[in-house]
Amino acid sequence: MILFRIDLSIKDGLGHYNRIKSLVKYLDLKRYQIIIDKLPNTSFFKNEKENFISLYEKNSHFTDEKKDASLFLKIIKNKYKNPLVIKDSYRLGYSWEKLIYNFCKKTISIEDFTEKKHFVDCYINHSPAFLVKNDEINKKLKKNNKKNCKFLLGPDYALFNSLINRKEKIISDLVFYNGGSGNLLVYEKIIKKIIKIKKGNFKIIIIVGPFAKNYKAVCFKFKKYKNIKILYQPKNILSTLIGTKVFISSAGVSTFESSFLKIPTLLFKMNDNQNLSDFDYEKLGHYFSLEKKDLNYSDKIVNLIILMLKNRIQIKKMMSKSTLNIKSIKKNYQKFMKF
Amino acid sequence: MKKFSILQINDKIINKYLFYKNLYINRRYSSSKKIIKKIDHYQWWFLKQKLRKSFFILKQDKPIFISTSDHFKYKSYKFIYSGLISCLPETNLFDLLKAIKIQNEYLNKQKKNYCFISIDRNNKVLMHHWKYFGYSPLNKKNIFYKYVKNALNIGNNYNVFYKKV
Repeated sequence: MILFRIDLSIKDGLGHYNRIKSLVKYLDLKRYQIIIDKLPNTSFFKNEKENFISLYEKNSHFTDEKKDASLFLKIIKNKYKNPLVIKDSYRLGYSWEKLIYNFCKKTISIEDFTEKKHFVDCYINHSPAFLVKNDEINKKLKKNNKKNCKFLLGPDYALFNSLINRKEKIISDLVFYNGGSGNLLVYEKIIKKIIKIKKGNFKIIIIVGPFAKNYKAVCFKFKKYKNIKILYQPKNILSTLIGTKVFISSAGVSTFESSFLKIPTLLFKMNDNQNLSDFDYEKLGHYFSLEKKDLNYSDKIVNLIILMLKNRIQIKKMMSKSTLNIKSIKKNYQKFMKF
Repeated sequence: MKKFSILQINDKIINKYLFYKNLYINRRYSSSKKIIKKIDHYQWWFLKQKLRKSFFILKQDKPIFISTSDHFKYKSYKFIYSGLISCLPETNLFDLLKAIKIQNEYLNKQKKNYCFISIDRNNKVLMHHWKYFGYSPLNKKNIFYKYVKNALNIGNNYNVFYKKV
């Protein structure tokens, strides 16, 4: 049995879940369980419910790695002996991994940070930073991990959704997205200013993630604009991305998705884990990345978006560097993770 | 002998270009000493960089300078306003003079143009070397003076030099 242990909540967003789901698809896994703190209260996961196991009771919650590991071990001992455990969590690290290690067939950690210590058999970090050989970081990784740990590094192991349903393609000029739980109203001023300038058939799509708390407020703010369409918790954002001219997004997993589709993208680093340098985003073909605080300069952002629209062919040419190849990523995983 | 060469710049260096522009060595003698923000740079790139002809000056295949040339017209005259951006936090006189020489080779190929450069009066090195590259000071009496000063937004602490190619 394969057990995933992930962070999935309003605070944690959808990123960890999306990553393990892409792994499920790459490896064509049929039997697996996803262990999370609590079952999410949204219809987005209705097809996944039978795969979810909630670790905490209604009135209890995560406090520390030790307690989490003991609850996790209970599941292992009672139901799924000697499983393969794949963990994608910012809260659980070395201590948790060490506590569960002897009860698992294999342990794997999906990680964004290189500084964290681990005790696993396999370490996955799909950051484009690994496209350039860096002896110092490789040395640090080896030092921070178990002896004989296998390292799957860089976009050759990129974990993102790559399934496109071209029949469901939605045509638009701009798509705004702020991850699975981000507040879309950070773009409110910008969207309203663009709508004032661009009249006629201009179409904007706002994608609201399943954990966004203010879906109703977003609808209310934009209800009078006929050329704005709000998509609430779509199963797959790729059909929307493929039909747009410019994508404006937080620099999360969607960075890989828009790189894969070569869609001109303006990225905003909204969280601490969106910590890549400009030159690392460039390795995915993304040359336009700004900080969250830049959203305060709404006039300048509007100008930039309009310039990106005008120059989108030029930007697409710049993205030619982006070479995410799903077939080869799939092969890489199947080769290294024979279950 | 160190090998010098040139390489045309393309859109993919947009972020590196900003990194170089923001090096202290470049801001020190620039009209604006402030760090340029990415949001401003991206807009500038789409609006102005297209009009500018730039190339890297490489030493042993590593960029040491970017040569910039803004081409524009005034009445029936063709003007080029050129500059150099250092790609290194520190440079030396030999590399600088070599870069100016390479830039001049480019300028000399542009026929029937007036080439302008502006030099901060505090930049003692360049203030001593403009004459070796065929430039003359642009005096107030010159018919281009007013236009060039205004169009290029050149401050009073800069001297402007020009030559005809």
